[in-house]
Amino acid sequence: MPSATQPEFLPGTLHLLILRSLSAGPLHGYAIAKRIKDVSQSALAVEEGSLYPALNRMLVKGWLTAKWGISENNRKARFYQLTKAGLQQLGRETAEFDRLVSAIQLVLREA
Amino acid sequence: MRWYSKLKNKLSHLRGRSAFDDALAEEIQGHLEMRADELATGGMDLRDALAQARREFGSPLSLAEDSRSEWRWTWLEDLARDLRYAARSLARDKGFALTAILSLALGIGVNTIIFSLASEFLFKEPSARNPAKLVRIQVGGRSQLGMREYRFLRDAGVFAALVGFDENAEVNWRSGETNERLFGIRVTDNFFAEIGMPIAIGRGIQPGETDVAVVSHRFWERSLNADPDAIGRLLVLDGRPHTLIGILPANHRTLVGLGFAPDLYVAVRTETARVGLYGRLAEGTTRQGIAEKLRSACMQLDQVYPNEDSKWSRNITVNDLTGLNRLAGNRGLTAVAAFFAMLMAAVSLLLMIACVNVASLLLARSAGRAREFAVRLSIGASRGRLIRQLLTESLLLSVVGAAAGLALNLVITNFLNGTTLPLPVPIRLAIQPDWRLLAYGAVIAVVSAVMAGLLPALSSTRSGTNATLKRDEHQVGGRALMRKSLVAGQLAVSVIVLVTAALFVRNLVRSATMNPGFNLDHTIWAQMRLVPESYPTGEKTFALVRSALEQLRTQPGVESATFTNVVPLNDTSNDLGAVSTDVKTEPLHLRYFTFGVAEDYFKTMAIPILAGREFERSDRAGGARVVIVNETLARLMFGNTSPVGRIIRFGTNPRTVVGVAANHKYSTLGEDDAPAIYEPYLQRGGNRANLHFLIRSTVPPATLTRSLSKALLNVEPNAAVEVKPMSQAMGFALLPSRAGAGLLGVIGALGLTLASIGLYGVLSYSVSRRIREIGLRIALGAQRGDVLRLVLGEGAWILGVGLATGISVSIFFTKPLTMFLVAGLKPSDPFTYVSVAAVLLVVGCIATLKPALRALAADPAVALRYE
Repeated sequence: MPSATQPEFLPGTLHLLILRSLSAGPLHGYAIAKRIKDVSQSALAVEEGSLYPALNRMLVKGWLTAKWGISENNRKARFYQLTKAGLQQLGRETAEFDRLVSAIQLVLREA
Repeated sequence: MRWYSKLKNKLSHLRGRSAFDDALAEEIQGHLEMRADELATGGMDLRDALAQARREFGSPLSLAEDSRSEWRWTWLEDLARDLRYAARSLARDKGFALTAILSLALGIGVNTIIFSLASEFLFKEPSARNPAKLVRIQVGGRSQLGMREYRFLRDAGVFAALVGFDENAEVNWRSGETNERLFGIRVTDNFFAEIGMPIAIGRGIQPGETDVAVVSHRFWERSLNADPDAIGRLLVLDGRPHTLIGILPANHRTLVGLGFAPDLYVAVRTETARVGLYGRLAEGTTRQGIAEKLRSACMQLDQVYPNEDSKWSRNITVNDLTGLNRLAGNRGLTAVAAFFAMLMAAVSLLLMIACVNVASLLLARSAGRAREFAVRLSIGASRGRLIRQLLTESLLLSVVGAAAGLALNLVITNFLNGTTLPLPVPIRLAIQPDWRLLAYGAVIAVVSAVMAGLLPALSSTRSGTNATLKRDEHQVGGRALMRKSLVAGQLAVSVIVLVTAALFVRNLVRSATMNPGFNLDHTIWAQMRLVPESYPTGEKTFALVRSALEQLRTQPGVESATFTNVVPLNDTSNDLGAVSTDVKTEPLHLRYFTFGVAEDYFKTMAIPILAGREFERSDRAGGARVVIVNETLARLMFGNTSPVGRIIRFGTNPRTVVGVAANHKYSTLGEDDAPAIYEPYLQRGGNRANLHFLIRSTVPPATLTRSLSKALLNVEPNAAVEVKPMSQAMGFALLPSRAGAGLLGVIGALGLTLASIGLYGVLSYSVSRRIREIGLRIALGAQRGDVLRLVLGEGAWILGVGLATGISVSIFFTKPLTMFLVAGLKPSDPFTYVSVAAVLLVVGCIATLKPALRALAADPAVALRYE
């Protein structure tokens, strides 16, 4: 459940976060959510209600593939892996995001 | 190609949709357990941990729905659902569905047939390699040039290649005992190589070859019995053996277009041949750019081989063989294009009538469904969604209609392909359904769906939910006005179509019964084609004509026989020049028809001689030069004085006028009276391979054809002889008005049927919606006569507005049709309008009266309860 204190994502960044989390190797849904939470030191929490539809959207677009496997604590889980198209998309979205952030910072500093 | 991989992913998903749901459930379960494991390692009880994990997770149902929707084909699935719904609701209302589909099938079918014909005649590309780079060339205003001029221009290097082409080359083919006149195209020896014309079997004519022939697929099939070993066979053409070296494919199209289908191609063999020019543009050059280069080449040509009439470098035209520029460069084609444009307009109006029919049917139907829509709106359907669903219904109707229409197209075009047109040149249609037709059909189906469906869909979803749920549909005033306007509009369009069709039908009746000014019933036309090489001089030909005439005159059943250089209404020869007389010495510039005829011409053709005498045997080559003029020329050049015995000058020598003949029709039945001059053929220069004998018979002409053709073959065994009754041979002259009347008559009849059905349906529907109102009025004491007047008044308003609009629009619309009509028939002819208006009035009155009388006859108590 989202709490009021948790910051909302910038629109469109969910894909970017998922793609980035997967760039090190295949992960299952729970691990993706946990990775984002841990790395952001709990600043960013992905709701499951958005995570799974987003994963499916990215499967449709061909950025990810999914395979069943066994998790580290022996549970059956679906592992998501970046495709070549997904990797390219990660590059595009990262560049786009950097551009956006530096533009915002510029405004915050100068305006 | 990102959409492509997306499509592929979605498609693979289609295969296992329930598997997807199971997998998602399993994945969610795994997620929950992993979270529970984590919480449990923090020291929580396992069951509490699982419950905690579930709470954190939110609604798995909406998650599953959201995930699933990522894979769905939302609009497509909606469309499929709408289509199923539409099919069900149309199946419930079979009468309505059938009427609507039939209307659209006829409208769309006729439309695509005209489209097929137009694209066949006007836009089919010739069989050639890269035809877009081919151009047709005229220099010095001439359509044909001599061989030395051709060679000069070919070697001038203006074009990548220049070929010569004579599409009027006829040859006599020796076939058993007789000779058959074949239609051929004579080409320069580089033609096949440079144009790149596909050959089905064998090969094309190669440089240096003369005694070879390439035949059409049809000739091979019909005249050579599809002989598999035909290649290498000898064909005796004009008395000279030619080797058959190639057979063209069945779908061969000449550079001329227009469905022109000759029997064979032969090579130019004499220096006296004249050829039209076709060029291939070099890569990187354009049609516009080449004209300048061609002009400078023609200026050099003017130095080397001057043209006696005008300079070669004047009146240069270069036209594409494909696309619109081809139409612009050819006057005959422009007329055909105009004809098709008119037909297209007529069938578009027909389609419009059909669409209005369907629209008013849909409107009437949607009035009955108002409650259904109101309920759907009130339980949360958006108006857009409802409109989409109604449009799906009309789309389903129009797609089924279009499919039926295309089936009709295939049947009709197939029939047309097998028909031989009564023309002096071989024209054959080879209409094949292609992607253009399919695309056109699809576009038309969508347009009709929108035309027929949009208005009813908008209007039936407009009124507010509450109002409609409570109100009765006949109380909605706005919709009644729209329905009235629709009917009036339909009437107006019907008037236009019907007036056009009626004009053409009257034109046919008039031209079929029209007197051409000479006798058709007792006249026989015998055409004799000589081998030109055997008759190089005029003297030899004249001697042959002399003995042929003698032979013909001795035949039983022959009253008189004569000769002419051209047969009126089939071929003409005319001159443009200065004409003067001893009465009117100031020369007048005139275009006049010229004839070279033998004695007894006027007697045989039954053309009255109004003054003076007919030609006689004594009007021979060495004698005094004499002419006979027609009435129009006599009036123009001599005024009120009698021309007989007077001198007339045209060209160089003065001639004495010996007679005045009555006017007749020379080139078309519809022409206005034109001046004409007749000369004895023996006093005219010129040598022709084609001789025309005219015979007046005392017995039915059809019984004489065989004996006459034998008599002529006796005189010259190498000639190709065709003998036919004159009445049969007039097909060409009647063709434009026959084709016009036939096509437009059918279109008009369809239009009338559709308009009557629509008119009747809508008028009687709108009256029957008022049965309750009528019952109420009568229950309240209204007189039956008053009520009838009320209903008829409304009908009269609709009819009046529709007819008035239609008539005033069609007065403008039919104005350009004058060029297709016979003289004396004007598009503004009131008879046409009165008859069309009368027919529609009768239909309208019946459609209004019948339900009104039914309503009046009903018991008011029953009418009040009428739903």
